[in-house]
Amino acid sequence: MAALALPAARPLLPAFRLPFARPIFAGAFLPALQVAPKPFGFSLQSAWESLIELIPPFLLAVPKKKVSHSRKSMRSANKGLKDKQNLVHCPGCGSAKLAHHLCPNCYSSINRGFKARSKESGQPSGAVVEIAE
Amino acid sequence: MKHGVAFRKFSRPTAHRMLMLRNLVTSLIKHEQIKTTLPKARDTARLAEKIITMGKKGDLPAYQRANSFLLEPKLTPKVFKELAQRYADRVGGYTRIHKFGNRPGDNAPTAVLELVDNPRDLKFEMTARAVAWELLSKKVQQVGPKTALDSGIQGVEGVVQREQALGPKERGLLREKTRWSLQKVLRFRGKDASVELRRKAEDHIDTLLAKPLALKEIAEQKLKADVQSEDTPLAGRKALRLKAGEVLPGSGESALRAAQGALGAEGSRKWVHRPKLGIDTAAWSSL
Repeated sequence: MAALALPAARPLLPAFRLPFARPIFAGAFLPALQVAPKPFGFSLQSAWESLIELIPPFLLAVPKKKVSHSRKSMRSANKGLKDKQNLVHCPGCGSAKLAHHLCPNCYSSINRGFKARSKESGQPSGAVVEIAE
Repeated sequence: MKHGVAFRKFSRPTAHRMLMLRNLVTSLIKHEQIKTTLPKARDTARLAEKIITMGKKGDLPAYQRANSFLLEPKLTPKVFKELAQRYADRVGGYTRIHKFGNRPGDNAPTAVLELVDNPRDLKFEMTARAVAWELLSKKVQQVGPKTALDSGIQGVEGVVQREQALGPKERGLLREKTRWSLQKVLRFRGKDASVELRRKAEDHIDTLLAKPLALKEIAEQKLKADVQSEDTPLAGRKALRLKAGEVLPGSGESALRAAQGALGAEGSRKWVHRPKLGIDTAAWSSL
Protein backbone atom coordinates (compact mmCIF):
# COMPACT_ATOMS: atom_id res chain seq x y z
CA MET A 1 0.00 0.00 0.00
CA ALA A 2 1.39 3.35 -0.89
CA ALA A 3 1.34 5.85 1.92
CA LEU A 4 -0.82 8.76 1.18
CA ALA A 5 1.22 11.90 0.95
CA LEU A 6 -0.55 14.28 3.20
CA PRO A 7 -0.77 17.79 1.82
CA ALA A 8 1.00 20.53 3.78
CA ALA A 9 -1.13 22.43 6.28
CA ARG A 10 -2.48 25.37 4.46
CA PRO A 11 -5.08 27.92 5.51
CA LEU A 12 -8.52 26.58 4.86
CA LEU A 13 -10.26 29.94 4.85
CA PRO A 14 -8.28 32.07 2.42
CA ALA A 15 -11.37 34.03 1.44
CA PHE A 16 -11.83 35.37 4.98
CA ARG A 17 -8.27 36.61 5.39
CA LEU A 18 -8.65 40.42 5.14
CA PRO A 19 -5.38 42.02 6.27
CA PHE A 20 -6.62 45.64 6.11
CA ALA A 21 -10.32 45.55 6.96
CA ARG A 22 -11.55 44.23 10.33
CA PRO A 23 -15.19 43.39 10.05
CA ILE A 24 -17.20 44.68 13.06
CA PHE A 25 -19.71 41.87 12.92
CA ALA A 26 -16.99 39.28 13.43
CA GLY A 27 -18.99 38.04 16.38
CA ALA A 28 -21.62 36.77 13.98
CA PHE A 29 -19.04 34.49 12.42
CA LEU A 30 -17.99 33.02 15.74
CA PRO A 31 -20.82 30.51 16.24
CA ALA A 32 -20.53 29.46 12.59
CA LEU A 33 -16.82 28.80 13.03
CA GLN A 34 -17.40 26.92 16.30
CA VAL A 35 -20.12 24.76 14.78
CA ALA A 36 -18.06 24.03 11.65
CA PRO A 37 -16.15 20.74 11.82
CA LYS A 38 -12.49 20.85 12.80
CA PRO A 39 -10.57 21.40 9.56
CA PHE A 40 -8.29 18.62 8.67
CA GLY A 41 -4.63 19.64 9.27
CA PHE A 42 -5.58 23.05 10.70
CA SER A 43 -3.66 23.69 13.96
CA LEU A 44 -5.46 25.29 16.91
CA GLN A 45 -2.87 28.07 17.26
CA SER A 46 -3.33 29.53 13.77
CA ALA A 47 -7.13 29.18 14.14
CA TRP A 48 -7.03 31.34 17.26
CA GLU A 49 -4.75 33.88 15.54
CA SER A 50 -7.08 34.23 12.59
CA LEU A 51 -9.96 34.68 14.98
CA ILE A 52 -8.14 37.50 16.82
CA GLU A 53 -7.55 39.29 13.53
CA LEU A 54 -11.28 39.38 12.85
CA ILE A 55 -12.23 40.90 16.22
CA PRO A 56 -11.60 44.68 16.52
CA PRO A 57 -9.01 45.58 19.20
CA PHE A 58 -11.30 47.75 21.37
CA LEU A 59 -13.36 44.69 22.30
CA LEU A 60 -10.37 43.25 24.10
CA ALA A 61 -9.45 46.36 26.19
CA VAL A 62 -10.03 45.98 29.92
CA PRO A 63 -9.08 48.07 33.00
CA LYS A 64 -6.03 46.69 34.72
CA LYS A 65 -6.90 47.85 38.28
CA LYS A 66 -9.83 49.33 40.16
CA VAL A 67 -9.67 53.12 39.92
CA SER A 68 -8.65 54.37 43.35
CA HIS A 69 -10.89 56.62 45.43
CA SER A 70 -8.32 59.37 45.14
CA ARG A 71 -8.09 59.30 41.36
CA LYS A 72 -11.87 59.04 41.03
CA SER A 73 -12.34 62.10 43.28
CA MET A 74 -9.70 64.07 41.38
CA ARG A 75 -11.53 63.41 38.13
CA SER A 76 -14.82 64.74 39.53
CA ALA A 77 -13.20 67.84 41.09
CA ASN A 78 -14.58 70.06 38.30
CA LYS A 79 -18.04 68.51 38.23
CA GLY A 80 -19.50 70.33 41.24
CA LEU A 81 -22.42 72.79 41.08
CA LYS A 82 -21.38 76.40 40.44
CA ASP A 83 -22.43 79.19 42.79
CA LYS A 84 -24.88 81.76 41.52
CA GLN A 85 -23.28 85.20 41.27
CA ASN A 86 -26.35 87.13 40.06
CA LEU A 87 -27.94 87.68 43.49
CA VAL A 88 -29.44 91.06 44.35
CA HIS A 89 -31.84 92.54 46.92
CA CYS A 90 -35.45 92.92 45.86
CA PRO A 91 -36.18 96.67 45.62
CA GLY A 92 -39.60 96.09 47.18
CA CYS A 93 -39.06 93.76 50.12
CA GLY A 94 -35.30 93.48 50.61
CA SER A 95 -35.08 89.70 50.30
CA ALA A 96 -32.52 87.98 48.09
CA LYS A 97 -33.52 87.30 44.47
CA LEU A 98 -31.99 86.52 41.08
CA ALA A 99 -30.95 89.57 39.07
CA HIS A 100 -33.38 90.55 36.27
CA HIS A 101 -35.99 88.12 37.61
CA LEU A 102 -39.22 88.64 39.55
CA CYS A 103 -38.99 88.48 43.32
CA PRO A 104 -40.99 85.37 44.32
CA ASN A 105 -42.00 86.86 47.69
CA CYS A 106 -43.36 90.03 46.14
CA TYR A 107 -45.05 88.14 43.28
CA SER A 108 -46.66 85.78 45.76
CA SER A 109 -47.98 88.56 48.00
CA ILE A 110 -49.20 90.63 45.02
CA ASN A 111 -51.08 87.63 43.65
CA ARG A 112 -52.59 86.79 47.01
CA GLY A 113 -53.70 90.38 47.42
CA PHE A 114 -55.47 90.37 44.06
CA LYS A 115 -57.09 87.01 44.72
CA ALA A 116 -58.34 88.13 48.12
CA ARG A 117 -59.76 91.33 46.61
CA SER A 118 -61.46 89.52 43.73
CA LYS A 119 -62.90 87.00 46.19
CA GLU A 120 -64.33 89.84 48.30
CA SER A 121 -65.93 91.55 45.31
CA GLY A 122 -67.25 88.28 43.87
CA GLN A 123 -64.58 87.03 41.44
CA PRO A 124 -64.63 89.63 38.66
CA SER A 125 -61.43 88.54 36.85
CA GLY A 126 -59.49 85.30 36.60
CA ALA A 127 -56.17 84.63 38.30
CA VAL A 128 -52.79 84.31 36.55
CA VAL A 129 -53.07 81.19 34.45
CA GLU A 130 -50.15 78.77 34.17
CA ILE A 131 -49.95 77.58 30.57
CA ALA A 132 -48.02 74.32 30.59
CA GLU A 133 -48.38 73.43 26.88
CA MET B 1 -25.56 78.71 13.46
CA LYS B 2 -28.86 80.57 13.76
CA HIS B 3 -28.00 83.83 12.00
CA GLY B 4 -31.11 85.73 10.94
CA VAL B 5 -33.61 82.98 11.79
CA ALA B 6 -36.68 84.78 13.10
CA PHE B 7 -38.97 82.03 14.43
CA ARG B 8 -38.65 79.13 16.84
CA LYS B 9 -39.86 75.63 15.97
CA PHE B 10 -40.60 74.35 19.52
CA SER B 11 -39.99 70.74 18.35
CA ARG B 12 -43.46 70.73 16.82
CA PRO B 13 -44.82 70.51 13.28
CA THR B 14 -46.17 73.72 11.79
CA ALA B 15 -49.85 73.04 12.47
CA HIS B 16 -49.25 72.13 16.11
CA ARG B 17 -46.93 75.09 16.63
CA MET B 18 -49.35 77.62 15.16
CA LEU B 19 -52.25 76.24 17.18
CA MET B 20 -50.18 76.36 20.37
CA LEU B 21 -49.22 80.00 19.75
CA ARG B 22 -52.81 80.91 18.91
CA ASN B 23 -53.88 79.32 22.17
CA LEU B 24 -51.27 81.29 24.10
CA VAL B 25 -52.26 84.58 22.47
CA THR B 26 -55.95 83.88 23.14
CA SER B 27 -55.18 83.12 26.79
CA LEU B 28 -53.09 86.27 27.11
CA ILE B 29 -55.88 88.44 25.77
CA LYS B 30 -58.42 86.67 27.98
CA HIS B 31 -56.48 86.79 31.28
CA GLU B 32 -54.03 89.65 30.52
CA GLN B 33 -51.28 87.86 32.48
CA ILE B 34 -49.99 84.33 31.87
CA LYS B 35 -47.05 82.24 33.05
CA THR B 36 -45.24 80.05 30.54
CA THR B 37 -41.72 79.20 29.38
CA LEU B 38 -39.49 82.06 28.25
CA PRO B 39 -39.12 81.13 24.54
CA LYS B 40 -42.89 80.59 24.25
CA ALA B 41 -43.49 83.93 25.95
CA ARG B 42 -41.22 85.69 23.47
CA ASP B 43 -42.95 84.23 20.42
CA THR B 44 -46.40 84.81 21.91
CA ALA B 45 -45.56 88.44 22.67
CA ARG B 46 -44.60 89.02 19.06
CA LEU B 47 -47.89 87.61 17.75
CA ALA B 48 -50.06 89.23 20.41
CA GLU B 49 -48.68 92.67 19.58
CA LYS B 50 -49.55 92.12 15.93
CA ILE B 51 -53.13 91.25 16.91
CA ILE B 52 -53.36 94.39 19.04
CA THR B 53 -52.04 96.42 16.09
CA MET B 54 -54.91 94.98 14.03
CA GLY B 55 -57.23 96.08 16.83
CA LYS B 56 -55.87 99.60 16.70
CA LYS B 57 -56.30 99.70 12.92
CA GLY B 58 -59.98 98.93 13.45
CA ASP B 59 -61.24 98.30 9.92
CA LEU B 60 -63.21 95.26 8.70
CA PRO B 61 -60.38 93.29 7.04
CA ALA B 62 -58.32 93.65 10.23
CA TYR B 63 -61.27 92.46 12.29
CA GLN B 64 -61.70 89.43 10.07
CA ARG B 65 -58.02 88.58 10.28
CA ALA B 66 -57.91 88.92 14.07
CA ASN B 67 -61.15 86.94 14.38
CA SER B 68 -59.73 84.06 12.37
CA PHE B 69 -56.52 84.03 14.43
CA LEU B 70 -58.05 84.04 17.90
CA LEU B 71 -59.58 80.79 19.11
CA GLU B 72 -62.40 82.50 21.03
CA PRO B 73 -64.38 84.80 18.74
CA LYS B 74 -65.96 86.61 21.68
CA LEU B 75 -62.51 88.06 22.55
CA THR B 76 -62.14 89.97 19.28
CA PRO B 77 -64.44 92.84 20.43
CA LYS B 78 -62.25 93.13 23.54
CA VAL B 79 -59.18 93.64 21.35
CA PHE B 80 -60.90 96.17 19.09
CA LYS B 81 -62.56 98.23 21.84
CA GLU B 82 -60.88 97.88 25.24
CA LEU B 83 -57.27 97.18 24.23
CA ALA B 84 -57.32 99.58 21.27
CA GLN B 85 -58.47 102.33 23.62
CA ARG B 86 -55.91 101.41 26.29
CA TYR B 87 -53.01 101.48 23.83
CA ALA B 88 -54.24 104.35 21.64
CA ASP B 89 -51.29 106.62 22.52
CA ARG B 90 -48.70 103.88 23.01
CA VAL B 91 -46.50 103.19 19.99
CA GLY B 92 -45.87 99.45 20.14
CA GLY B 93 -44.63 97.44 23.11
CA TYR B 94 -48.02 96.36 24.39
CA THR B 95 -46.67 93.31 26.20
CA ARG B 96 -44.07 92.82 28.90
CA ILE B 97 -42.06 89.73 29.85
CA HIS B 98 -40.83 89.20 33.42
CA LYS B 99 -38.34 86.39 33.89
CA PHE B 100 -39.37 84.15 36.77
CA GLY B 101 -36.75 81.52 37.55
CA ASN B 102 -36.80 77.86 36.51
CA ARG B 103 -39.65 75.35 36.59
CA PRO B 104 -39.08 72.48 39.09
CA GLY B 105 -40.10 69.57 36.80
CA ASP B 106 -37.81 70.17 33.83
CA ASN B 107 -35.70 73.21 34.89
CA ALA B 108 -37.21 75.22 32.04
CA PRO B 109 -36.72 78.99 32.33
CA THR B 110 -40.18 80.47 32.91
CA ALA B 111 -41.59 83.94 32.46
CA VAL B 112 -44.71 85.92 33.25
CA LEU B 113 -46.10 87.53 30.10
CA GLU B 114 -48.55 90.37 30.66
CA LEU B 115 -50.32 93.12 28.79
CA VAL B 116 -48.94 96.52 29.79
CA ASP B 117 -51.26 98.70 31.93
CA ASN B 118 -53.55 95.79 32.79
CA PRO B 119 -55.37 95.92 36.16
CA ARG B 120 -52.76 93.58 37.70
CA ASP B 121 -49.69 95.22 36.14
CA LEU B 122 -46.66 93.74 37.93
CA LYS B 123 -44.27 96.56 37.08
CA PHE B 124 -46.73 99.08 38.52
CA GLU B 125 -46.96 97.11 41.77
CA MET B 126 -43.22 96.61 42.05
CA THR B 127 -42.53 100.31 41.36
CA ALA B 128 -44.93 101.28 44.15
CA ARG B 129 -43.12 98.90 46.50
CA ALA B 130 -39.70 100.17 45.46
CA VAL B 131 -40.78 103.78 46.08
CA ALA B 132 -42.07 102.75 49.52
CA TRP B 133 -38.83 100.92 50.40
CA GLU B 134 -36.59 103.81 49.33
CA LEU B 135 -38.55 106.49 51.16
CA LEU B 136 -38.60 104.37 54.31
CA SER B 137 -34.88 103.60 53.98
CA LYS B 138 -34.03 107.29 53.72
CA LYS B 139 -36.16 108.11 56.77
CA VAL B 140 -34.69 105.27 58.84
CA GLN B 141 -31.14 106.29 57.95
CA GLN B 142 -31.88 109.87 59.03
CA VAL B 143 -33.92 109.46 62.23
CA GLY B 144 -33.81 105.76 63.14
CA PRO B 145 -36.55 103.13 62.96
CA LYS B 146 -38.38 104.05 66.16
CA THR B 147 -38.98 107.65 65.13
CA ALA B 148 -39.86 106.53 61.61
CA LEU B 149 -42.48 104.21 63.07
CA ASP B 150 -43.96 106.89 65.29
CA SER B 151 -44.06 109.60 62.65
CA GLY B 152 -44.69 107.54 59.52
CA ILE B 153 -43.90 108.79 56.03
CA GLN B 154 -45.68 111.95 54.92
CA GLY B 155 -45.75 113.56 51.51
CA VAL B 156 -45.60 110.46 49.30
CA GLU B 157 -47.88 112.18 46.78
CA GLY B 158 -45.56 115.17 46.56
CA VAL B 159 -42.58 112.89 46.05
CA VAL B 160 -44.34 111.03 43.23
CA GLN B 161 -45.29 114.28 41.48
CA ARG B 162 -41.81 115.77 41.80
CA GLU B 163 -40.02 112.61 40.66
CA GLN B 164 -42.28 112.37 37.61
CA ALA B 165 -40.93 115.71 36.39
CA LEU B 166 -37.25 115.13 37.19
CA GLY B 167 -34.70 114.22 34.52
CA PRO B 168 -32.45 111.15 34.66
CA LYS B 169 -29.30 112.97 35.81
CA GLU B 170 -30.96 115.20 38.44
CA ARG B 171 -30.82 114.32 42.11
CA GLY B 172 -34.03 113.44 43.94
CA LEU B 173 -35.24 111.17 46.71
CA LEU B 174 -35.43 108.05 44.54
CA ARG B 175 -32.75 105.99 42.85
CA GLU B 176 -32.26 106.60 39.10
CA LYS B 177 -33.78 103.24 38.12
CA THR B 178 -36.80 103.65 40.40
CA ARG B 179 -37.46 107.12 39.04
CA TRP B 180 -37.23 105.81 35.47
CA SER B 181 -39.70 102.99 36.26
CA LEU B 182 -42.02 105.49 37.93
CA GLN B 183 -42.05 107.73 34.87
CA LYS B 184 -42.62 104.78 32.57
CA VAL B 185 -45.57 103.25 34.44
CA LEU B 186 -47.31 106.61 34.83
CA ARG B 187 -46.76 107.80 31.26
CA PHE B 188 -49.76 106.39 29.42
CA ARG B 189 -52.14 106.01 32.36
CA GLY B 190 -54.68 108.60 33.49
CA LYS B 191 -54.62 110.90 36.49
CA ASP B 192 -55.90 108.13 38.77
CA ALA B 193 -52.68 106.20 38.28
CA SER B 194 -50.49 108.39 40.49
CA VAL B 195 -53.15 108.31 43.22
CA GLU B 196 -53.26 104.51 42.95
CA LEU B 197 -49.45 104.32 43.10
CA ARG B 198 -49.34 106.53 46.17
CA ARG B 199 -51.94 104.37 47.91
CA LYS B 200 -50.02 101.18 47.15
CA ALA B 201 -46.73 102.74 48.32
CA GLU B 202 -48.29 103.86 51.61
CA ASP B 203 -49.75 100.37 52.18
CA HIS B 204 -46.35 98.84 51.59
CA ILE B 205 -44.67 101.26 54.02
CA ASP B 206 -47.13 100.11 56.68
CA THR B 207 -46.36 96.47 55.89
CA LEU B 208 -42.60 97.05 56.14
CA LEU B 209 -42.96 98.79 59.50
CA ALA B 210 -45.36 96.20 60.85
CA LYS B 211 -43.09 93.22 60.20
CA PRO B 212 -40.41 93.74 62.89
CA LEU B 213 -43.04 94.86 65.38
CA ALA B 214 -44.95 91.66 64.88
CA LEU B 215 -41.70 89.70 65.21
CA LYS B 216 -40.93 91.46 68.49
CA GLU B 217 -44.42 90.79 69.79
CA ILE B 218 -44.18 87.12 68.97
CA ALA B 219 -40.74 86.87 70.56
CA GLU B 220 -42.16 88.40 73.75
CA GLN B 221 -45.07 85.97 73.72
CA LYS B 222 -42.65 83.10 73.33
CA LEU B 223 -40.76 84.22 76.42
CA LYS B 224 -43.99 84.42 78.44
CA ALA B 225 -45.53 81.09 77.53
CA ASP B 226 -43.50 77.89 77.32
CA VAL B 227 -46.45 75.85 76.21
CA GLN B 228 -47.65 76.39 72.64
CA SER B 229 -51.21 77.67 72.59
CA GLU B 230 -53.69 78.21 69.76
CA ASP B 231 -53.00 81.97 69.82
CA THR B 232 -49.37 81.62 68.85
CA PRO B 233 -49.28 79.41 65.75
CA LEU B 234 -45.89 78.06 64.75
CA ALA B 235 -46.49 78.82 61.08
CA GLY B 236 -47.02 82.52 61.79
CA ARG B 237 -43.80 82.77 63.72
CA LYS B 238 -41.80 81.01 61.05
CA ALA B 239 -43.27 83.15 58.31
CA LEU B 240 -42.11 86.35 59.98
CA ARG B 241 -38.58 85.24 60.55
CA LEU B 242 -36.10 86.92 58.25
CA LYS B 243 -34.68 84.61 55.64
CA ALA B 244 -31.03 84.29 54.60
CA GLY B 245 -29.99 87.29 52.55
CA GLU B 246 -33.03 89.34 53.55
CA VAL B 247 -32.47 92.94 54.71
CA LEU B 248 -34.56 95.53 56.49
CA PRO B 249 -35.12 99.08 55.24
CA GLY B 250 -32.14 101.31 55.90
CA SER B 251 -29.52 98.58 55.64
CA GLY B 252 -26.88 99.16 52.99
CA GLU B 253 -25.60 95.59 52.59
CA SER B 254 -25.24 93.96 49.21
CA ALA B 255 -27.15 90.74 48.64
CA LEU B 256 -24.12 88.89 47.27
CA ARG B 257 -22.02 89.88 50.27
CA ALA B 258 -24.75 88.86 52.65
CA ALA B 259 -25.14 85.51 50.95
CA GLN B 260 -21.39 84.89 51.19
CA GLY B 261 -21.50 85.32 54.95
CA ALA B 262 -18.16 84.69 56.63
CA LEU B 263 -16.52 83.90 53.30
CA GLY B 264 -17.14 87.45 52.02
CA ALA B 265 -14.63 90.29 51.91
CA GLU B 266 -12.93 90.56 55.29
CA GLY B 267 -11.90 94.17 54.93
CA SER B 268 -15.42 95.60 54.95
CA ARG B 269 -16.56 93.69 58.04
CA LYS B 270 -15.68 94.80 61.56
CA TRP B 271 -14.88 91.84 63.78
CA VAL B 272 -16.65 93.42 66.74
CA HIS B 273 -19.95 93.86 64.92
CA ARG B 274 -21.25 90.36 64.09
CA PRO B 275 -24.35 90.95 62.03
CA LYS B 276 -26.90 88.24 61.34
CA LEU B 277 -27.11 87.83 57.59
CA GLY B 278 -28.52 91.03 56.11
CA ILE B 279 -29.95 92.61 59.30
CA ASP B 280 -28.62 95.93 60.39
CA THR B 281 -29.14 95.04 64.04
CA ALA B 282 -27.82 98.35 65.32
CA ALA B 283 -30.69 100.25 63.71
CA TRP B 284 -33.54 97.81 64.29
CA SER B 285 -32.80 96.31 67.70
CA SER B 286 -33.88 99.47 69.45
CA LEU B 287 -37.38 99.31 67.94
